[in-house]
Amino acid sequence: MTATVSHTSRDRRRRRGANAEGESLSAAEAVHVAQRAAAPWPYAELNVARLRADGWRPVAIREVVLKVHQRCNLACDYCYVYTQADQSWRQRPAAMPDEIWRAAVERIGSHVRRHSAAGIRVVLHGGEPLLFGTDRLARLADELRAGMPRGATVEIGLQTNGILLDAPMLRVLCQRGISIGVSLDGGPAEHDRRRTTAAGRGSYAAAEAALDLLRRPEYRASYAGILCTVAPDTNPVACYEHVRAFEPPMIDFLLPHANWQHPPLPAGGDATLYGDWLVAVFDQWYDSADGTRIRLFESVIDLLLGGASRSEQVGLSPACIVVVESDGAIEQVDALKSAYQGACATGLDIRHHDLDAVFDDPGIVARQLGLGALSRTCLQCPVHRVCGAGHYAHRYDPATGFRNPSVYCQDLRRLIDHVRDRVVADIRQRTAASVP
Amino acid sequence: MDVPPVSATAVSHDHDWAPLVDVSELSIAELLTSDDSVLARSLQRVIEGLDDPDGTISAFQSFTS
Repeated sequence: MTATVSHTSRDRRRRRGANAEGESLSAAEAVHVAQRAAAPWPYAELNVARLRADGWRPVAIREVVLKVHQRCNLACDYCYVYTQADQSWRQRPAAMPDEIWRAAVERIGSHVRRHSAAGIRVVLHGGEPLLFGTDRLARLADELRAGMPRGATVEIGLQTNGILLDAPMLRVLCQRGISIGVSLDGGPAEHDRRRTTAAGRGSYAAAEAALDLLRRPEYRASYAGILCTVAPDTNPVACYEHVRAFEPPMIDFLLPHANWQHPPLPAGGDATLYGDWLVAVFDQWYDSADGTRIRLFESVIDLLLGGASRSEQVGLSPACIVVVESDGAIEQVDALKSAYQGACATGLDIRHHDLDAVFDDPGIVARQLGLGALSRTCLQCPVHRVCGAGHYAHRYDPATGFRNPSVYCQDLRRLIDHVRDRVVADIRQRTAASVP
Repeated sequence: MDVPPVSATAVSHDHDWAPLVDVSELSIAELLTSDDSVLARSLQRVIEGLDDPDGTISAFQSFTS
């Protein structure tokens, strides 16, 4: 009991800071002060109350990312959790305590109920989520499903590096209906160059073994897909073909997180190095027409055809995602850790706040505004409805915040122009062929 | 903030860049029933997405499904 009281008071002291006048600030107030200083837009310039008065309404949360384990058994050199601006992982519990994930389960069920949603998706993430352990993952999944209102569904996914994924664990995850994505950055040489243990050993063999397991008929239903981070100095077609050989239901190619303060590597490289890489993969994919799915490319085509994006990387769809960290903090998408220390923070806590409270946070609201979040430069660009200024994290500039074009602006334009040219040519060819 | 212009190649396209691709001459019903191309699957997704009043919401980039 004494220990609990001591911990609580220490926690309370830690959660209080001071402003320039030495006045005591609550944790939430301190977060807001820091956010306004680091990113004038949206934190100092976006008036959420005015938006609501003018009729804007938030879209309910559709995806909750639970950071069930804060540590990782790899030390990838580009990881935005450990190697970039935000180092908040150091202050959080390694494993999410039962109290936190049970609070999250309750809040998620309440949110679905309040918004009469058909369902919600929960992504188990880290660090490396399999470090959380099979039993706890199973209990969490069971309680998530039990906490859903009648008629609503919860889709549960997990993104892993594959190292700990063996048959017994996979059997349990499959029984719980958890779909699994694996990170793979191409062939052994490309993958092991970036995705190593702290001691420098490559992790390709482990990822390969995990993917071979997931491809087995008995586990195939739980195979979500492969995440691959673009490395522009690799052979794009060879990388794609290597990843495709594992027969993933979906591939996602991600641009490494960068912004105007920390531009993409290599510094001074060709203007569209990343765009050129993606274009080469696109052509290989489009021409093979073998049913492989690539989310980024599908989203660009869907947007060109008048549909909506399913990718954070393009389009103007509202982002309806929140993260719950292992200490209970409710945060924005963790890719923002690449921008500055505390960039994801909202000052909210899953034990004390309802998920709807995020709709007062300018950072969360900014990502639901579509055109309203774009810079003047973007609005003057004819491609803006497709590009959507790219990933929100890639727009950051310390002087202005997040209302800027993507630091990958030229790469996105290169890709979108190319995709459009290919689709238009395809349609023309089909139309000509159908004329008697 | 000064933002570099988009590439020269892209700028040269600007005058004829429309935000939507014209599919008015395309026999969509025929395409959807006879084809498994990237284009056919994209059109199918767009049509299915019309049922979602909020549009298709962005998915978390760090998980693929």
